[in-house]
Amino acid sequence: MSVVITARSRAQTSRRTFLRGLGAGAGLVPLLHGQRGDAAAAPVKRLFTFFWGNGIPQASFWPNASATLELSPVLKPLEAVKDDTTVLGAVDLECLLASGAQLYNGHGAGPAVLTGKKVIGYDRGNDGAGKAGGDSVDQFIGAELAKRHNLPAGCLVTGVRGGSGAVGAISYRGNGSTGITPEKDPVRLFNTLFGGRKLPEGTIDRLREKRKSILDVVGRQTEAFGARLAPEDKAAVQAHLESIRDIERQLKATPAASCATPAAPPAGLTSNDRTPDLYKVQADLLLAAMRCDFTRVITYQFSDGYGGLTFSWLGAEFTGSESIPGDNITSKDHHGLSHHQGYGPAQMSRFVRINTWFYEQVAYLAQKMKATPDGAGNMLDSSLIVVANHAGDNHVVVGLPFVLIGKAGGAVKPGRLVRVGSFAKRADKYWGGSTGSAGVPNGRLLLSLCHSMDVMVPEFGDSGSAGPIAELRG
Amino acid sequence: MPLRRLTQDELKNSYDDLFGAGAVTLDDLPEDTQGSYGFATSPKLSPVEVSKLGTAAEKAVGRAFATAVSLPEVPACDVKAAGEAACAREILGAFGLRTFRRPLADSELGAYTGLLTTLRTGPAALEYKDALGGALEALLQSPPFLYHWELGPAAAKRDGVLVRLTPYEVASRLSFLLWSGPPDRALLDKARAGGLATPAELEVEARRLLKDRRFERSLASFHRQWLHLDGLEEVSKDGKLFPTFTAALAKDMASETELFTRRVLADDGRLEALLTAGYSFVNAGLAKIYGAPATTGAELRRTELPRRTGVFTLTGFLSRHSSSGGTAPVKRGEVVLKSLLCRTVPPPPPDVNNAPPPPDLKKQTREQFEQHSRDPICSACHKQMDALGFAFEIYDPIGADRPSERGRPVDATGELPLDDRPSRFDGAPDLLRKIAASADARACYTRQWARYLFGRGEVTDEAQALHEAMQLFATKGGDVRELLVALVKTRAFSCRTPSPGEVLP
Repeated sequence: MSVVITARSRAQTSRRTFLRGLGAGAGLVPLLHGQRGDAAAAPVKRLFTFFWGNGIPQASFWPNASATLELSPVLKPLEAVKDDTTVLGAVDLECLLASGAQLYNGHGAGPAVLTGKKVIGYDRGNDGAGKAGGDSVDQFIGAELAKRHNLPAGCLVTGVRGGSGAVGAISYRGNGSTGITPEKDPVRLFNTLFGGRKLPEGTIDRLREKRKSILDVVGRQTEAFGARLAPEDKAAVQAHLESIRDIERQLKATPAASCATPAAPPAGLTSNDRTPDLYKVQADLLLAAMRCDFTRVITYQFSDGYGGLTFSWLGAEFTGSESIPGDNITSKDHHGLSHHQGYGPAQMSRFVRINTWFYEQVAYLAQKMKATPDGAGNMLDSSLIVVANHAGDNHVVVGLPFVLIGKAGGAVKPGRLVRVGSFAKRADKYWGGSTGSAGVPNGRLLLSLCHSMDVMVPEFGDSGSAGPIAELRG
Repeated sequence: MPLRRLTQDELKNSYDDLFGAGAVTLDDLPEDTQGSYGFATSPKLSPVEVSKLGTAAEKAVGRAFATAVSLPEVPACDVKAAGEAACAREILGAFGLRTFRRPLADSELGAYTGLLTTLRTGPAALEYKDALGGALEALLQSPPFLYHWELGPAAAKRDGVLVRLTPYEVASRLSFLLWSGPPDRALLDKARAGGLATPAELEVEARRLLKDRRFERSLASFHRQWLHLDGLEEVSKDGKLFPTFTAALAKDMASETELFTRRVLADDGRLEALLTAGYSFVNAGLAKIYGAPATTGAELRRTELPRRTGVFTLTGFLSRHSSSGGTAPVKRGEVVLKSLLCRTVPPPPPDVNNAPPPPDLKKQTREQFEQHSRDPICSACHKQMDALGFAFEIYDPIGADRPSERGRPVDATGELPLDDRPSRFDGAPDLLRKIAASADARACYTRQWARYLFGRGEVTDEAQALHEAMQLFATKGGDVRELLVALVKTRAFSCRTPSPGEVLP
């Protein structure tokens, strides 16, 4: 007897279907922005957040304290954008500790890092159990800017790893939400962003009108459905309804002049070993999306709460499990290497290499943004790249290594190591790690990000009354 | 009981039934999260997911309408003879019944036919066929399709502290339990005729559904979630240690477990077979892992595997619950303990540093977890989890036999309380045979189906009904189909617990 069945299939088949659908002009309707303008004459503020987890090797990460920024080994790749770089030492996930987390427990920190809010249902026994207490800062700013400037998309969440849930996600929409799964497939990302541009002018208009009418009815039906429910259920349907309203708003966004459509990306880049190629393709697409002003807020996930990438492209010592002279561990994956207490120099150097590789990727986009004119200056002058992590060294949820690149139109004065909290008083560059909270709550940084994007809210997450981090302005 | 949205599988199956197989892929639909007890729950819809649902509807309708209007179980309508308005009402009524799993209220039918008119004559100015497609898309994005609580025109009817389901709601509950998808025409007809009111009537329909191939969808869905297998396709392994492990092999592993579950339970039907069968469905790649070299080709074929005992000893479970370079005995043990025995594991105390110790190349995996048994703070909970996990140490991180590690034989012995008596075991096959023969396993498996069915934990007034279902399950030789029939006949099945804050008449 022989039977062939279809597995719970993933990207492969759907990619083909998408491409076919696009060619036929049916079955796939991407963002219907049509022709938004190429980088506007006036500079535009944008927020691009990179995330990876598992913390940093502190000794190779923190720069020496000095008047101008000295790049540490891990940060060396940022040389070309050094004058645009700000290293912030450091923020703590106080909101996660307030949720009942252990000092050593950053994996399920997803709902805390960018929300600054206590995690709902945080459960030490189940990393993935927590839910967000509100919008993450990228979603919050993205929605606000989209509304303000009539953009087709609020916050775009993309990456190579990550999923929904407290371990998988970094970007959250709403109180009690479980997080947004990043779009990992560049072909689908391309089709969503630029696919609509291939449709004839009249077709785009008709599809937009069709979608508007459908959502109008669906919205009214959803409202009626929710009205009959008990309060708790009503909240779920209300969230659904708000999402519908969001899409309706996006459909009403005004198309502008023209912007260049990039080349369609190749298929087949989503395997682990192709990650470096995949990233470059995605970064180029996202840069084009920024140039076309489809969205002003983008979040890019390199990892989930445990990592998830195997760095085969960095060399044989990142894949094998057999003993290497000087090693006392077998684990060579990102997470295994990050737990480096008791490890030898051979493991440390690999953990350093992994983090350096991440910064090489950050530098790739940063340099491209710097080379892109925006108003009188370049895109880095007007925008801000934020490099986020959920842990400091050795998995502690304090001493988080945030790096900012860009000036956000003058909101950040770069080229410095900015030391805040008791970090400012430390003579050495070592964090120690297990001594508990000592930086500033991450909510204060998130509030600074809001203000740097001209979203002038009084508080964000657990920022409290202390306000934004004034030192970032210089 | 809180409002539940259709899971990714249920949406996919609904699309398959409404449009024919392959209308959309899983990737086109919003993803689930893992809820309590490990079963999938569907989170609140974000804008990304709402637009995904819109695109999925456009895709399915576009495909179905590519040549002519053609929908399974929806009669064709001749526009030239009957006119657009009449055809619209007829098709939207018929498709609406299938989509909402109950007849549309007049006001609803009015809203969707009104939409068709808007699309036809408003700024979109669509052709009749496209406008009809747009109205179908709207149905597919509306809450009565997306949510489980079919709020029809009728007001809630109390039954003690519970609310009685309407006949259409009973039909849906039956089909989503046994087919993981919507009712078919025959079941909806039964609902309309009031033929789902008594346990005997429900049994007749349940047995009809169990004989249908769609039952296998439900088996696949339940067991994938029960085994915590989600994400198996994305598992990657240390390339040097396991050079044969590829993304394609991970997919084959998922297909293998799914096919094994479908065949064992749809053909044999016994829980014991699921937990002890000495065969699986393997192709050349999987055969290499099992050391069954006679199998060739890419197709999965039934193959005898003398050293394996059921679904917990297949490559899928063993690979999913391992890290990239080593086994994960705590995780393997935890899933067995929670899923198969329904025992709870509390989280570690707050002051514990749960960062793993530096691994030691001289020690076997089991020896590296010594701290758990030495430290009384850990041992209280880890004793059970770890012991069960160690039974699986005879299988490596991709599921191959591993009789020895670091040059020494693997110690896979342990002890666990089973049916209130201590039970000693040596290796996973021995452990699984003992669990399979226990009343504990049957009781837990019964509770798991109830949790899956109701989307919540057990409530006290169900205890008796569940106990009876479990007894019947035992007397019918542990046949899973008989268990499901027994569950369908309980009072709880035809009722729902009111939602918190719900105002009842």
